[in-house]
Amino acid sequence: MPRVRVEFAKGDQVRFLSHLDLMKTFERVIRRAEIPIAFSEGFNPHPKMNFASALAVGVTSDSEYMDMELRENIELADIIRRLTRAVPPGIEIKRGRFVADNTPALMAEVNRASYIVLAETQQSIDSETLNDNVGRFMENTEVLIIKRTKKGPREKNIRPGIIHFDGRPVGKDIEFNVTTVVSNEGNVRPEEVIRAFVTKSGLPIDYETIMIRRTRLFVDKGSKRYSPIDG
Amino acid sequence: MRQVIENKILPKVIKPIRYQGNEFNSVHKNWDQIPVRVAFGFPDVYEVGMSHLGLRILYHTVNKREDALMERVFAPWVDFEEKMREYKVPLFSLESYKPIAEFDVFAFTLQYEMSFTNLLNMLDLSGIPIKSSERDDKWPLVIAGGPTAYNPEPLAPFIDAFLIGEGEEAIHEIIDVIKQWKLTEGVKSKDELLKRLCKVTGVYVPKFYDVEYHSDGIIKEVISNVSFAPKKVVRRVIKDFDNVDFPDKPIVPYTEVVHDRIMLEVLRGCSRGCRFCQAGMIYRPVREKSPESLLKQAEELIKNTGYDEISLTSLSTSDYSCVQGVLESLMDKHGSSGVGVSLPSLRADNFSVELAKQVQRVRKTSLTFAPEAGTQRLRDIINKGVTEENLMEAVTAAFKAGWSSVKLYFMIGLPGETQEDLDGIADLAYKVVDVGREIMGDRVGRMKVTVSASSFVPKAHTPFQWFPQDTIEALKEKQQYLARRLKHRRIVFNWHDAKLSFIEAVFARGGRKVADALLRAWQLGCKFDSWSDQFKFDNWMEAFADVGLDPSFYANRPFSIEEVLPWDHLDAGVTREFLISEYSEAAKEQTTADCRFEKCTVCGVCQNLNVQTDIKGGKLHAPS
Ligand code: SF4
Repeated sequence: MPRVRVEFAKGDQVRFLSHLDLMKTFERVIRRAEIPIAFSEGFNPHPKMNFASALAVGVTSDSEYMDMELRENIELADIIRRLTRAVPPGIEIKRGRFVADNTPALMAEVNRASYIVLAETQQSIDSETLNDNVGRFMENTEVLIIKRTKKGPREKNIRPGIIHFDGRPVGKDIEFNVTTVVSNEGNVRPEEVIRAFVTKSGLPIDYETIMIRRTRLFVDKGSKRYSPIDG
Repeated sequence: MRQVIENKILPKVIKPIRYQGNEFNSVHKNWDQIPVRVAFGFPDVYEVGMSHLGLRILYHTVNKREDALMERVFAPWVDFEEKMREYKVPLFSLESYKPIAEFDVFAFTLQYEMSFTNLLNMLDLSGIPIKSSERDDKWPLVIAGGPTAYNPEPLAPFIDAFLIGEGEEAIHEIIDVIKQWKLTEGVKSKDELLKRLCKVTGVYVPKFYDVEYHSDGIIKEVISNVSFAPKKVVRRVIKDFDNVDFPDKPIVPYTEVVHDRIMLEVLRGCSRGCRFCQAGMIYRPVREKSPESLLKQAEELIKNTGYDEISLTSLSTSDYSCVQGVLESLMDKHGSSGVGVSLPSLRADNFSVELAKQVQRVRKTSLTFAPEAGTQRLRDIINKGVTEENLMEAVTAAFKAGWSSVKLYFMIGLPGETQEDLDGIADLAYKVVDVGREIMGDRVGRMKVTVSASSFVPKAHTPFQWFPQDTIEALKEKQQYLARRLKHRRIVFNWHDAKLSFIEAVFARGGRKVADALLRAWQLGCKFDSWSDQFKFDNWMEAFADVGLDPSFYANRPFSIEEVLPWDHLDAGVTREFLISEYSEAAKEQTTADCRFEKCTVCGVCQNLNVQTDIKGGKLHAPS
């Protein structure tokens, strides 16, 4: 069965959708677009679609990915056109490609996410102070945070999951660039990084009302980095 | 304002999506170019409000016009309200994020009495003075409609005008009047607008009526205090229901709402004539849609929403004369693309189980039946045309077809109820358990019989409007008795909070005077009363004491047939004579047949409102 991979953006107008809301929305988009999607077998058939990585409530994204399995052939341009007509305002279908049957699932492949985080400060911070603090923060081999889990609060070391972290003042705000690991072995969320950084450095940054935009999801295989849409 | 909401408030509240808007099919018009702007207020949270068909119909109807727009606003949950007050953000519409006070009209739907405090709160959050008399000409016109408007008196001081009855056609006339009024030269007075509005059939302007009382607090008279207001306000009804506007592009919420599916209205009204049921009186006569209209609408709706479920809605869908055919066609046509059909409201009989069997694609969860009373005698008194035999056949069929749980709905505190009737509820439940055990055999461990007991609340324009509600103590005793009798591994018993039902009864039968208590209760912090974790009974009692009202005067007092009722100046179509005759038939334990199957029983609706029962699949019963 043909499998198509689609890249889309989640904009401001749909910022507050949860991952579940987004999946449900796509189910409906696909039905409105009359895409011949395949259904799973069994008692409660559901459309065969998969996403690369869950996106939290309040977070926008420039590039998200979704795979659909189709029950019949249809041209790529047609898929893109139909989806574009059927999406709600704020979701933008960017491009797509057919992927081979043996391509690993998006979830299994994509393991890095980059974000731009905008945070407000209570008083302005110059770039030197900021850089010093960022440098010191990244020198830690361990950054422990308390995570609330179903089994109660748990300690977690997020440092290994922080691939890149820097920041610069933009007016009264700070703009951070964060790249973290996304995979089953240790998801680190950008808000966790900012919160840990602010707590450790003591800088007057408001970590509660930050704006997070995911700019990139990609695959890092050590030797090469690539986007799941380019293969 | 939008920035503050999106960046400061929404990240900190639960379910921010309730306030985001931008759903597929939501309508965003150019504000500056539209002459009449209406904000539709639903006095409960988003998930509840978006499940309401009336909102969807009016939203569609108004937004189809080029000269009007309608935007939505729901009651903000308590956490959001706190932030709004902290940041001084006024209540705003979901579409344009405009403050509600900037609209021409703030229109509420009243679906249940226990949303009244939310309505007051929404006015307050908008910065709009709560009392009609305190709003000068610059404030939006505040109107309200919906089933609970059939006794509008508890809201009379707060609402400028009510619409009594169905809104699809009346809303156009109301908007036309407002548009004309806005175009008039010079100072535009609200009194002039109200004067024009009360000429629209169905519109009730409370300030044009005075209420006089006897010394005992009972109403002496309600009279219009101006020459132009009608003596009696006659309810609106849609004559050609099959061709009335129906939303073909309903909003598709992002987040799960209570009814998260296509709602296809197959018929309106119900003439089974249960004597406690307000919906069974105020939506008469029964008018069906033709199968052709429904199939066409279903197709459009699937295409325009992407939903995978169509719910055939009405007060009683197994009564739809063409239900079988429509079901089959829908499943033939859309089943292969994964679209299922559901039936929300079924009678307790075999036919209904047969229908349910056809549509249950997935897991067989639970089937719900509403025998309402435990004995045949009491079922005759309330005119519930269900026999024990019907019910037993239905549950037998359900268990045989694979359902493992059934829900049984009863009402306690009904007029004429005795100890035997309570025992009857328990006996019925055990009979159902026995049937289930026999059929399910060794799978009986999975069987569940849920028994729900709500409390009788007398409602305006019903044959039981004169009957008192049991006291809270009496209701509680009955609930406890049933709880003891229904202690069984396979039975789950739940009941409604008697205190809540009591407050509901006060507002269901209260006149203008109870408005003071409502205002006071809101001032004391009452809101979201229908949410059990928010309901503050003590504050309510304090409010009644503060304004010097005895709530039991409205809830627990038998009203005399002779007295003037707070809603007597509203004509719901169903005549007083019919209600009285039904009241006495109840006393005689006599039933009255459904006019669809026997002859017209002259309830008055067809005669007074010049409408007809319209049954698409069978013979039409002309009113006598
Ligand atoms: S007037 Fe007659 S036909 Fe019409 S709803 Fe009443 S009882 Fe039925």
